[in-house]
Amino acid sequence: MDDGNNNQAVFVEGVSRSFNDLCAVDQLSLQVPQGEIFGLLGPNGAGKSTLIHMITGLLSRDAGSIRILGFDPEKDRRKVRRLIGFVPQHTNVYVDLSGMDNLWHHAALYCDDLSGISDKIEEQLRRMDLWERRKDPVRTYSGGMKRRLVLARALLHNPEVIFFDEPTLGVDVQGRHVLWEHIKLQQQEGKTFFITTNDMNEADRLCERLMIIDRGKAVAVGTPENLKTKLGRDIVTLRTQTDVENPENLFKGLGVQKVYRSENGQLRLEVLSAEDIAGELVNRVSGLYQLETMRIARPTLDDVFLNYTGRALRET
Amino acid sequence: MARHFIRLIWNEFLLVRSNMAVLLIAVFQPALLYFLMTLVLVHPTFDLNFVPSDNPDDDRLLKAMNEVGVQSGVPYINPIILSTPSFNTGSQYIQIVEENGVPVAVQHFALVDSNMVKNYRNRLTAAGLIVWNEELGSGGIQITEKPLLPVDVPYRVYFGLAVAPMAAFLATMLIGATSTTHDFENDTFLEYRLSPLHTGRIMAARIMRTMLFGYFAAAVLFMMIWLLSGYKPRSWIMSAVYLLPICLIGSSLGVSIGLAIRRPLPAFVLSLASTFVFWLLGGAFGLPSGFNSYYQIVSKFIPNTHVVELMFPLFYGIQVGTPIISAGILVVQSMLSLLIVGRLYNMKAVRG
Repeated sequence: MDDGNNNQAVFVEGVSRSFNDLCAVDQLSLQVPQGEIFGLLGPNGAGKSTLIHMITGLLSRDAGSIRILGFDPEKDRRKVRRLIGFVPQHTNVYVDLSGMDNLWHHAALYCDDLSGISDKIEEQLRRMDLWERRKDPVRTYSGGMKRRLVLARALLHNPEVIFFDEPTLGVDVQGRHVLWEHIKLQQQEGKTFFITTNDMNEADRLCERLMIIDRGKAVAVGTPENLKTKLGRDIVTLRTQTDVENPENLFKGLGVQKVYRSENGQLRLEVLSAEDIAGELVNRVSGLYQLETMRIARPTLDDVFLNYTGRALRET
Repeated sequence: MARHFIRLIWNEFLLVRSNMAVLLIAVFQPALLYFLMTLVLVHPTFDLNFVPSDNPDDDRLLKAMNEVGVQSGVPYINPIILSTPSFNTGSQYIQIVEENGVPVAVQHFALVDSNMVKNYRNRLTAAGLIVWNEELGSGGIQITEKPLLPVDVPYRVYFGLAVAPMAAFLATMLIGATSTTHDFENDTFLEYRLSPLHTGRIMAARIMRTMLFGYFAAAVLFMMIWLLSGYKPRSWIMSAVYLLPICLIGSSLGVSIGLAIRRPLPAFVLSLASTFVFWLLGGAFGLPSGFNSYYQIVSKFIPNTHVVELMFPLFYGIQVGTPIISAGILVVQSMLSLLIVGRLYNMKAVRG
């Protein structure tokens, strides 16, 4: 317990970690207040897993300071592990055991006092709509049910901070909404969620604040709305019958900030104001190419991500 | 605290459902091996085919063949009279012929193992000696067996005694290794890694669960020995005490292999291979004192040897080796294996 960061659920300052010559996390800092749903975005290999492993004490850091509710995950390992719940990307349950047995297994490993644990297990299973299937082997559960079971397991020992890696990966649309609801319900009860996701829609709808990291460094932090507003641009997507050659020249003087060409031949333009230049844009393109479609949109988190990392998330 | 630990052990038992095939192999394979080996290899009574001829010595030799036996009364030869020789790859038969006026018992054999041919010959020679002694009367040479041990226990019991530590070792090694690799395979090891419990408690639960299966495998084997030979250890409690170190060593090494290798198949194969090497070098077919000096030196480092020597009196009523040294070596080996598994768990789970 030290340095007055006890009010922060997660406090990370100047943390670095290298593997041989590769710097996976480089001088990264972040703070997550209690009761927040915080999202960590980044392409594969950006350093998300390394960061989470360091925060949870699974990996040692080379430099910097980490605190979970004021405790150092390396020095106060056991204390921190009582305070955190972890839901990995891979649904790591014993599929031959029932849902109930999986929770009992967790209880024995994480709860010092087993009195009243049956009630807690029942409560968690009921909350996650798994009570009716509690005696069935987990191998018979759907993807969404398995994710809910893992969340129930992570919450069983009543942790303050829950790390959730790709909450709805492999879960159908209905299941995703159910999971999001559960996460929000837990947040209302004061739990802090630290989420990593590649799903922009999920990040947008679920997270109160986001951090985008790339090559081990934080490149942007803010609320989803804030990040989109900060971009300050509209997105114009153009599809022509043949590829537009030298688009930078073609759109010169129109206030086009950035041009991306996607694999399917579409052009994505970041412009200051789409409404002001739409007519001229159509004229210039139509003069040389056959314009098939043009779409104007406000920036999404995808665009934010693209802007900061130079890569579309689905291409990472 | 105790309730919590019991729950931890119970958890470990539940996990067995994830690997039922390995459990069945681990627990029942040694007893099955003993059963088959007892039937095939170590039965002292050999069937010997005899084809009568016109020779007047036929009856004398046949009578002598029936008399060849050991002190405990188990016959060495079971003569089977064939009217005519039969031929197949495993054929063997004896027929007396006259060569230069001397009766010769000719043993015919087809594709019979050379060691078995030697065994047949030894038994037949013993029968010949009986016939010879009859003619020589008081001038004959009498050979008889007198056991030095208080009881003349059949060899198959010793063989079972040597399989017992192997059974415990196999079960603990296989279950320890595969349950650990299973956790790596399914990422469930993360549950252990993030647990706030002390490493010692987690490991103790896993090792204790594995050890109980080691005892179970040994118990199944002892039942098989009892069933097949009528012999059982004089004290079940002392049997359990002597098996304790081998169960502990097997569990620790099994979990260590799982932690170090992380992949089920190599861990399974290594556990299996180690078990059989330990068994063969640890007095599998007889006390090391009956083998060459190299074997004796190597066997001193094998825990099975010491468990066999400690358990020997439970069947034979006489002490072999130096029990205090055997016990000391087993204690040191147990501590060492616990140290190895503790270090490995610390490296793989706590520090990552």
